[in-house]
Amino acid sequence: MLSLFGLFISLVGIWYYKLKSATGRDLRHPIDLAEICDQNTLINIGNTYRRLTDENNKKHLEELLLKDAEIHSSEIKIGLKTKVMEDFTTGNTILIDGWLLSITEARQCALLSISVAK
Amino acid sequence: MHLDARELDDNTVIEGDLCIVGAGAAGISMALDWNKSGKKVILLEGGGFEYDSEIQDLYSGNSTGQKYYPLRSCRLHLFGGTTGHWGGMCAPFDPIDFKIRSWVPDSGWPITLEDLVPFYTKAQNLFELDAYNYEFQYWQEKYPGLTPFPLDKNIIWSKMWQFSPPTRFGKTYKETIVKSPNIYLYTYANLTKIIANEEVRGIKQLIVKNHEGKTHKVRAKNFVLACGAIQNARMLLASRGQAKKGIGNDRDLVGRYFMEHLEVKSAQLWLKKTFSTELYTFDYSTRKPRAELALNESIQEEARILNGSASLTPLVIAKQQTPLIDVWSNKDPRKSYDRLVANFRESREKNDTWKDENGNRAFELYTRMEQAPNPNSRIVLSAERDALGVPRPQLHWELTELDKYSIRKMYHILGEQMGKANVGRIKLEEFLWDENDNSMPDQLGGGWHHMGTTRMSADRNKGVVDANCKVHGISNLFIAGSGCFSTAGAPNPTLTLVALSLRLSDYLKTS
Repeated sequence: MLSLFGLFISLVGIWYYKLKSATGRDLRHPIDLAEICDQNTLINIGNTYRRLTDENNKKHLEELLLKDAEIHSSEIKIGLKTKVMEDFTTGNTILIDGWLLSITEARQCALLSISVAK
Repeated sequence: MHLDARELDDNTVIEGDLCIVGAGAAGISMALDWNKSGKKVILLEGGGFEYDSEIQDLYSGNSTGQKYYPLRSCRLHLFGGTTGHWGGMCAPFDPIDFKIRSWVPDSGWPITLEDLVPFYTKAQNLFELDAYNYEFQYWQEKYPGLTPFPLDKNIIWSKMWQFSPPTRFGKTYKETIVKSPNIYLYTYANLTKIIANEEVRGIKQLIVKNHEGKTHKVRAKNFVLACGAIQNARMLLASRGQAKKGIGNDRDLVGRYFMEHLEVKSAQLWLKKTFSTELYTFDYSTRKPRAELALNESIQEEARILNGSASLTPLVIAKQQTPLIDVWSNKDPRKSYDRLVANFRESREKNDTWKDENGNRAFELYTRMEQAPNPNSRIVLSAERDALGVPRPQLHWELTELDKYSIRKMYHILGEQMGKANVGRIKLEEFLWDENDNSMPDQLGGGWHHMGTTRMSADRNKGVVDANCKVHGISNLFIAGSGCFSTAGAPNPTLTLVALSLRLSDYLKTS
């Protein structure tokens, strides 16, 4: 009985870990921008964004992305993609290294640049 | 009929009904409109039928302010004028170009687009263009492959262009002019002075000279200056004496408001996926119409910016190209032209990956925008004189904050729309990054489009000519050409300046 419970806990743990990893990957991967810019450009954008703003903390950036996008972990990709397009519609944009970007994708680049720095 | 003014007896008096000074696009268009009219039309051309370096030198002058092309090579001084080396890009002005815009100082024409439409139609024929139709849908029916980006139509529209062969007026219309029973073309007849009557209310005669030392007088009922925006202003200013500040210059407006088009590499467009850009790319072989990305009137008003458009060139080509301002740097127009052609040709040959059948994903966005009217951007007379004794022109090309702001804002809006439609992203050129930097880069050029120096206004305190292109206060002196433009509009001026000249021609016939 105990071993079954242990197995259950382990499976939940693995699921949670995988979900967290996937969430982290999605948060730091600007899906549309990544089709245009290579990894180095995305990192450079992220570094510049962090320099231009006071959003320099991983946890804070994650919170901003999840909060702004009002998304659940299972819909992160779609949610962020939608949020990016909303940003362009509402003018929630920023010019970084000449790129006219959505704030959301700029934050994703910032997260990416932090993860690479680590 | 053709006469060479060098071969006339000195002090010949030439008389006619209408005298047109300058045989370029404006002058020849007007003359053709009077062909077989029964009226004696005198058409004066400073040069001959072939390029002549001595004649071309009469266009020399200096410039200050924003970097500009050598004045000597901007225009061609021979029969046919600058159509001898123009590119043939034609598009009409937009309705907004004629309106008073609260955010554009000194904007507003005393005429509307509707007033020009009948003459645009006639001008189309002179330039051997297709029908006067610049609606995207019309061209898409003809060329189903033309597909616009899926952008918000309330914000972005496809500004269509047609391409003249390009018609070289000097070759195409020479025979008609020379064989005309009533058009008297005088070559090597350079206007050097405009003589008014005692009250300076009308023009009595013109003085024309040539390098052979001959001086002639030209008398007519009406006179039309069609020498180009710089030369027209120069001749009015140089005809001092009876009028202290020059003919038609009581209000110190002649030569002011010089405008060019702001032409500069401004951004890159990176597409998410390849997209058929046939609509936006220029096809050298077929010269079929193409579109540029432009902002709707309401968006211009909301953003308080000037009218402009952006053209697309595959980035692999554009990266090989030297800015036009650096290419067209020789004072000999033939050499500058050759360098220009080589610049375009070599850029397509050096890297031919743009031919990849999968298409291009990266493009340069090139701005073509009106310059805001600015009284400090102007032509004045230099202390130096040309070989015929006329003071040379001096250009001070001055841009304003609104010019820079408008270019930057246009690309911000385009960038937002590209992102919103998920078509791609836009990267602005570095000179547009800093919102507090109002300076223009040296790589900014113009389109060799000279406008505004004898601007049109119903109010003589605000313009040199009235709505009919008549010089305020002078009963029989008219100006043809882009010098009359009150604002520059986004498109190249040739089609519009010819339409405006044909409207003037019509006015002279019926008034």
